[in-house]
Amino acid sequence: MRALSDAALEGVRVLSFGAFAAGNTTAALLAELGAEVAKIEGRSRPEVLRMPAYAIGPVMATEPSGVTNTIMEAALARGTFGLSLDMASDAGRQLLWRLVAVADVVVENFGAGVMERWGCSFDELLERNPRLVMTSLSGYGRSGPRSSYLAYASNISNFVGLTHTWGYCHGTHSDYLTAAHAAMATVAALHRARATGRGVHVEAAQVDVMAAVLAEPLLEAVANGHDPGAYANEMPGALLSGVFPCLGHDAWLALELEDLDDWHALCQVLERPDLDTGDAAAAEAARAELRDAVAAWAAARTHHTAAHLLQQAGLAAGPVQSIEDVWRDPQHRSRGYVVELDQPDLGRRPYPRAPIRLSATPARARRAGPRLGEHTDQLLRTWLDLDDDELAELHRCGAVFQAR
Amino acid sequence: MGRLDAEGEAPALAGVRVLDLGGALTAYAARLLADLGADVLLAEPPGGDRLRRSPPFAAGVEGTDASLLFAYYRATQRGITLAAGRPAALDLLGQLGAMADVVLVSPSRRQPLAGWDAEAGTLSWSRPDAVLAAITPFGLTGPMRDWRATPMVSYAMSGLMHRVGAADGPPLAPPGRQAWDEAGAYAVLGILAALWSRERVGGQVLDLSVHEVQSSKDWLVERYAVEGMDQWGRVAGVGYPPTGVYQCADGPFDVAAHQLAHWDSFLTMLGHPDELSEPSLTDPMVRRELFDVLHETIQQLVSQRSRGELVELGQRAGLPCAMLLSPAEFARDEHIVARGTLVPTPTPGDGTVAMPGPAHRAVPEALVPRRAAPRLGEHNREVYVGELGHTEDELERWAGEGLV
Repeated sequence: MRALSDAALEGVRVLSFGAFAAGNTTAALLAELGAEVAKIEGRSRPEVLRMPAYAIGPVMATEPSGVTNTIMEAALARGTFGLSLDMASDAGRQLLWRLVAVADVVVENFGAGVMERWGCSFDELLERNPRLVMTSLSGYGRSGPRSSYLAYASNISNFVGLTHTWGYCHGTHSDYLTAAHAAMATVAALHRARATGRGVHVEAAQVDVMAAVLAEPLLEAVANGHDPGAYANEMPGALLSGVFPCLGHDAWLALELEDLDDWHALCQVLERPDLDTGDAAAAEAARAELRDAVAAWAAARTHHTAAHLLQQAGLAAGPVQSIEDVWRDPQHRSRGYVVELDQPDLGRRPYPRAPIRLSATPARARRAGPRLGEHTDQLLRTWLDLDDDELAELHRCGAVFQAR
Repeated sequence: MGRLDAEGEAPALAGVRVLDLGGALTAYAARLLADLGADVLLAEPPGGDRLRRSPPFAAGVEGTDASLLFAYYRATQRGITLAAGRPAALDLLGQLGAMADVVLVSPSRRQPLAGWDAEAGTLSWSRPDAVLAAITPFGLTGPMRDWRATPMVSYAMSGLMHRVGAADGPPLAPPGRQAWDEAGAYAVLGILAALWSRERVGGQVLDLSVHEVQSSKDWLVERYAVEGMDQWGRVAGVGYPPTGVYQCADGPFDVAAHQLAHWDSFLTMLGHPDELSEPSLTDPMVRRELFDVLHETIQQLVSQRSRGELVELGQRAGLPCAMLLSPAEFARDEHIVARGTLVPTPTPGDGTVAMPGPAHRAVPEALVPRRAAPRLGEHNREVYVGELGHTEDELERWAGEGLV
């Protein structure tokens, strides 16, 4: 159970109520860096992503307790340990408070008011642990007139102007961005708590995170009063950008020219010196013609061949990869990108390697997501030094559940 | 949120010095580090960082200090110029490196860096106890380590973009520079973890590949292993009515009714209209069968309504729903204004522009006062003469040699 000594966050203990893509991913990123993360689920309130509706392909698993599990959840909860508490019971909440006293971090992404109803507001938890870092993820944040709103990532995509500028409403995009920022802010807060001895409440709101990564269209709209509309692969500042159909089914080349050197290099590849104008204004005028030339050139090649030829000429170009392309991707393969992780009910399966490659303390998941309550007794023994009698009493009153 | 501390606290990275030689790829990481209180020194080529030439520009007019994108990414940082690829820069790099706890780099053929050993992935002049963070499109190893990308090309190759867009249209890249921003957030998470374990472990190298960060999302590897080649293709959205986007009298709004109880919430929002009173419609499978006719019926019901009012009613009834806004509408929204998501930010062009503020918040606050991004070479004298102890004459000579 102890984290390995080559882990950056060795010795950091995290209690996570993080659910769905955003909450789970926040906890998993901390686990990959070596924190000991307890994923808390109620026996009667399992993680929603365990449900059959979230199964990938035909694969489902049923745990001995009867709770189902999916690859989706096993992937998102990678590296965490399963702790099952009944937060609806007094004994369960009291046990959580005891765990908070010996933990470093609490992660949650409940709707507004849930933690407060459990007596688990930041101020209340701070009384149990004055150095606690609590990280709260939400769609709209905890202040402002829409702070109580329910939101999926698709709602956020629409609200923040992402759908408007992308021409597409994405169902998880902002979840991952928010999780990365939340995990980052959590470790930053750990630094502060270590320096001051005082706890920190981190708030990662999807609307704030998305504003930060949508600076380009926001600045165009707010400072210049211009609605950028849907980008349609026309990247601002590029002399030419777009995707071009290639040989084969649904195969595309992505290409972006950043400056006149790029323009020149492309004209050479296409053998179109007539379009190699040498100044920006002329390039602007010749853009449609160059676009047509790229389209004709790309249509006669596979997306991989086209990308290789353009990269050889020093250009920023790539195939729009399908998931099969990604699976076979020589770059991913050479870096050992696909790793196999064990899960008691889903078996040994492929997952992506943790991208944070630190030379001395590389991030990595040791296991896929746990069974509900798989490590309850183990965690209570090591974190709280509970003995057999105390554990038996907690089981008797239903405050905890241990998967068998 | 919890208790407010009027005085605020020292930020997480107070006293940490960061040297950034990475340009556009490390810009978002540098911004996050500056927001956490680090002293970030941007060393850019004498001709200026690429983002200085990137729109949007103040008043839409291009100029060295006019890029609002540069003003956004480089706010609060100091800036010097240095031709860091030249062997003659080694001495100065060594002196700068001696002061840096964190060094950000993105070495490439186009952006060479003196002292960088591409085979070993090491820098000759950074301190042994420094965190050396290399953020590159594809990582420091592998057959495509020299490939070039832009945020659009990164997203295209990740496997994510192939699914994004209309079923009969091209794959669509997201607006802005999000693939690179997200990698920046991952990099800072890794840097903070490395700093956390620095006393125990010493310095280390972070090899962060944008490609790996992007491919790690949305279960690409997991899905391919059980489903094979893309079965989903490009899909406009997931779910069935009432999930979807509808045109109200004053603009579009969306509903994400992914749970069973959301149908009731939806009917409550609309005041239980007769058109949707058929009891069999409570079954999501029936609604899926009747997709087109239901979408049309709902569209009719909401076409004369105000979306703001519907969202209020829907949220009160427990329905995840939102307005679909443009960036300008988002920036003006009462919730975003009340939260202060956009903050007045000074620009190097002596103006002040409302820009996205910190991507996360914390209680107690530890806000870093926002300074204007540096003008080209603004801190040359302060750093080279004031901090490194060189003379004005030397500075002038280097300028003549094109070194600074």
